[in-house]
Amino acid sequence: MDSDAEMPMSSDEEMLDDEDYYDYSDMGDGEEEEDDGSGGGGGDSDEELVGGDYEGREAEGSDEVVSRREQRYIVLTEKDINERQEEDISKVVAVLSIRREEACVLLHHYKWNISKLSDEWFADEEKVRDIVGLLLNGIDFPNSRKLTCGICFEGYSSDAMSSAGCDHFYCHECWEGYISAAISDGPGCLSLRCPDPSCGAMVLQDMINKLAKNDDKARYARFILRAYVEDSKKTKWCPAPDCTCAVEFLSDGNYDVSCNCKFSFCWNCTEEAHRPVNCETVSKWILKNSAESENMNWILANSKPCPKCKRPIEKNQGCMHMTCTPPCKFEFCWLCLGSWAEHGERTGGFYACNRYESAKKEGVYDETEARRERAKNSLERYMHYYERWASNQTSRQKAQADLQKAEKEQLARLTDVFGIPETQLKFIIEAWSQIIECRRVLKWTYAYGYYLDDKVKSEFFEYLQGEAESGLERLHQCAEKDLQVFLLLPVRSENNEPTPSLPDFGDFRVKLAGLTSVTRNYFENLVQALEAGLEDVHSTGQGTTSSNTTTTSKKAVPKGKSKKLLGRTSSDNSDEGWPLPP
Amino acid sequence: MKLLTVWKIMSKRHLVLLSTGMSLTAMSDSFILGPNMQSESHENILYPKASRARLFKEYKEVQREKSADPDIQLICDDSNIFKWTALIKGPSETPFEGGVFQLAFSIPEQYPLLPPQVRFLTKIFHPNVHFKTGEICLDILKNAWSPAWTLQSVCRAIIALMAHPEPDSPLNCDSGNLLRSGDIRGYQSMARMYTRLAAMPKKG
Repeated sequence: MDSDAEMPMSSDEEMLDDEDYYDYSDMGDGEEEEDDGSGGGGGDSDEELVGGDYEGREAEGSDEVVSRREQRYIVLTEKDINERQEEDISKVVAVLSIRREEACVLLHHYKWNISKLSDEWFADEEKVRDIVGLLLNGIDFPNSRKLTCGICFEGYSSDAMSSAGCDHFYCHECWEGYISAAISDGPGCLSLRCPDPSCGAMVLQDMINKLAKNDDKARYARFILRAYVEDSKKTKWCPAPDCTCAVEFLSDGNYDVSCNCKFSFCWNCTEEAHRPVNCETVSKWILKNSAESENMNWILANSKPCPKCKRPIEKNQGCMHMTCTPPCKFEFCWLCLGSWAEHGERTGGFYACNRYESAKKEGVYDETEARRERAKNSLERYMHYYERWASNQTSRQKAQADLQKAEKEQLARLTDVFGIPETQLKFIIEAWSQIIECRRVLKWTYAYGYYLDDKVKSEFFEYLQGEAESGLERLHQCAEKDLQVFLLLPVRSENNEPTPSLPDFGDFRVKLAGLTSVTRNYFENLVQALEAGLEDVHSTGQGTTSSNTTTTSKKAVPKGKSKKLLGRTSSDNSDEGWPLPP
Repeated sequence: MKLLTVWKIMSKRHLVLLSTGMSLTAMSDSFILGPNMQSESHENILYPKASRARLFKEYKEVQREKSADPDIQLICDDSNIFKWTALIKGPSETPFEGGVFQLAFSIPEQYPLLPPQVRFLTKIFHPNVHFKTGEICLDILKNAWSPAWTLQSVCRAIIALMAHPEPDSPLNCDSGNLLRSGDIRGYQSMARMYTRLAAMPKKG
C-alpha cells in the first residue's frame, strides 16, 4: 500500500524561498498580459519598474515575457496526457520487453520515472519483480480439477476460476466483488494484490478488464490516467471544478498559471492565483479563515442593515457604493457603512475604507479606549481584513457573471441600439476582465495587510492599496451602472436617423477605457511594490517621498489637468481629482 | 497503523487455514444446521446472498473445528447470522493469561469484501484496544483486510495482537506510554490486574 500512501509535495522547498519567488514573480499571469505587455519585464528590470520609469521598458520587455511565459508551463488536455502516457508505456514495453500491463504497473510504482525504472530493472530484475508483485513464470493451469474459491468457499471447476498469476484461485464472481471493492476504495486499486494475505501477486489491468464490471473497468482506466498526472512531480491537475486539464510546470519561480479553462491558479499551492502575496501567507490566511469561519459566517451572514433606515440589505452588485431602495435612497459605503457623500477629500483621500488605522481614528469603531486596545490583535482586527477580503471575493464572482452577461447579451444589445460592431465594443470586455483581475489582487492584498506588522510599510501599503482600490471602485461602478443607461435605450429604428445618445456613448467609452488603463496602472504598482516586499520604504525613504509627492499632486492637480492626462471627458461629473499614475 | 508482527504471524497461520478451507468442498451442502435461517425470509431480501452463504460456510466450519482450536469459541447469534460473539483465551506468557475475553462481531452486508467490525466486550488494558469502547486497532480489520480472512482467523489475529502489542499506534494511550517508556513491569501489572478484574471468574 505504500504507493498511494505518500505523494511527496513537489515544491515545498522552493515555496519557502521567498526571495526566489519574488525574483521571478513579476512575470504576470495570462489574463493580465493578453492585452498588455507591460505587465512585467525581465526579472532584472524589477527595481527600475518600481522606481516608476516604465514606459521605456514596455517595448523591449514584452517579447521576452511572451517567450518566457510560453516555456514556463504547458497546459495538457486529457488527450495530451493520454498520448504522453501511451508513449511512456510503449517505450518501457520495448526496452524491457514485457507486457503492456506489466509496464503500466511498473511505471506507476516508479512514479513514471523511466530511467529509474530501467536502471533498477537491469540491475536486479528479480528484486523489482518481487517488490512490484510481477510473477516471472505463469502458474500451470490446473487441469479441470475442482477447486475451492478462497473467498466464498464454494467449489468450482477450474475454468470458472482465475488467479493473478499465482496459485490462489478465486471464482469470477468473487473476483468481480473483490476488484469492485478495491476500485471504490480509490486509486489504491492500482496496486491491487492477490486476495491471499501472504501473496503479493499484482492484479494487472488485463485481469481487471477480464473480470470487472464495465463501469469498474472505466474507473480503473481513469485512475491510471490520473496517476500519470498525480505521480509526477511536474504535473498537477487544474483545480477548477469540471476542468479536465493538467498543467506541467517547467521552470521555478512565478507559480501563477492559467489553464485553458481560464481559471488561473498558483501551481505551487493549487489555491487560486494569489499574486503578489506568497503561498505561505495565503495558506496561513486560509487556515485562519477556516478556524474563524463559524464566527464570521453569522457575523457577516449575507446582509447588513441600511445605516439609515435599518432595513436589511443584501449586496447584489459588485461595487461598494450602495444605494438603499426608495423611499430611503440613502447612499453609503458597504464597507464602513458611512455616507457615500463623505467618501471624498474630507475623509483623507477619496476612498479610505481600506485603512484599519484611519477607520479607528475616525472614531468609527472605537466606543471605548479599552475596546481599541483589545482590537489590536483581536477578532476585530481580523474581521476588518476578512470582511474586505470576502467582499472582494464576492465582488469578483459578481464581476465574472457580469462579464459573461456582457459577452452573451449586452454587446449584441448595444450593437442593435447604436449600430456599432461588436469588435468595437471590446473595451467593455476589457474593463470587466480588468475588474476581475483587480478584485483578485485586491482580495489577496487584504491577507497581506493582515500579516504585515511593520508600521512604516503598513502605511505605504495602505496608501498604495487605497489608491488602487479607489480606482477600482470607480471603474467597477462605471462598468456596472453607467452602462445600464445605454442598455435601456430602444433599439435603433430602421430609417437610420442618428441616435441622440450616441455622443454620450462615445463619452462613456472614453471614460471606461480611461478608467481601465488607470486602474491597471495602479494595480501594477501595487503588485510590484508588494512583490518587492515594500523594500523601498526603508531604503533612503524613497518610497515614502514618492508617495508623499503623489499625495500632494493628487490634491493639487486641478480638475482640468487630470482629465486631460487621463483622457477623460466632460461627461465625467465626479468632483475628485485623479491621482496621477506614478 | 502497521502491525507487521501480527501480520507475519498470521500469514503463517493462514496457510493452515486455507488448507482447511479447501476441505470444505468435501462437505455436504444439503445438510444445514444452524441459526434459524428459514424463518426469516424477509432477511433474505435485505442481505445479499453471497455474504450469507459465506457466513454459513464459516458456521459449519466452526462447528466442525470446535474441538480443534481450544483457544477460540465462535458463537453465532440465534436469530441473526450477521451477529457473532467469540470467547478467546488470553495467550500464555502474557498478562492476559488465564483470562477469557468476549468479542462482539458485527458483520457488514458486503462481507467478506468488507471486514467485520469487532470489539472487545470484556474490559482489557492493551495499547491497541480502546479502554472504554473496546474498539480494536488492527490493520487487517481496516485497510489490510482481505476477503480470504475468516472470523476464525480474525480471532487468531486478535490473540496474536494481545501477545504482541503495537504501542506506536495506541488507542489506549496510557497503556501505550507505559510500553513506550520501557516500563514493561508497569504495563504487565496493570494489564494483569484488569485481566483478573474483568476476564476471570470471580472467586467465592
